[in-house]
Amino acid sequence: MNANEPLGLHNRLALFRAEAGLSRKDLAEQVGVNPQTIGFLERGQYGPSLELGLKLARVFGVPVETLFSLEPFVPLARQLGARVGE
Amino acid sequence: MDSTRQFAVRMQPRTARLLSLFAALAIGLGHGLELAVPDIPRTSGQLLAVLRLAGLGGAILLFLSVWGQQAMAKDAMIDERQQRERDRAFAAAHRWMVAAAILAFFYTDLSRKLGLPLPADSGAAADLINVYVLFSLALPGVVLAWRTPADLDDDA
Repeated sequence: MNANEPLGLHNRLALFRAEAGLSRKDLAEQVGVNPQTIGFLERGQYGPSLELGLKLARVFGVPVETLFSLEPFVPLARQLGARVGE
Repeated sequence: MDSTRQFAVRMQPRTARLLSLFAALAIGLGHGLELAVPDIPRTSGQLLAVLRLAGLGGAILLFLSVWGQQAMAKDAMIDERQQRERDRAFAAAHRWMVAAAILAFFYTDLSRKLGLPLPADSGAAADLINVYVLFSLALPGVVLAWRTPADLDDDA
């Protein structure tokens, strides 16, 4: 599999990182990878090891399945719209 | 994590790709024309020698670049994604070098039967082997550069 090919693993890394106000470099330093690797993860071009996935989840204080999923995540706007409608 | 870059020539993926094309063309043309035209005029022969040297210089520069260094980096110096890409680059480079060795074997075998040009002496043959070895050293880094997206600047 080429590094540029999309994977079957989906993540909300960019969303959580933006909300936490972290740069890719900041996040990379916290989990011990190259900043480019964060970019590859956010673009869905790289599936992390279990260890890296857990480290990323720990940075944001969420369970790993909140950050990564085998199914596409429901867009945030749709989730918020559904809550407003409830 | 990225300590390989402290000791390496910084080079954008696009530059490394262009340099690898130049090195391959210069080395290929330099040796190929000398083989194909044995009675080449002295000035042209000197130009081909310069071309070959420039190509070899390019291959050495690629080996010393961040790409060559990342291809040779120990596990502790790069992260898990880079390790995976390094291993894949080595596997791909190995396939290319095996293919080149097999082609060279068939060529030398056929050249005796069909009268195709061969190196004039053992010195010229040794030159070709040196080129093969030097280019194989640079090849994993070249593969890495070709497989890396060209627009990585915004990732830092």
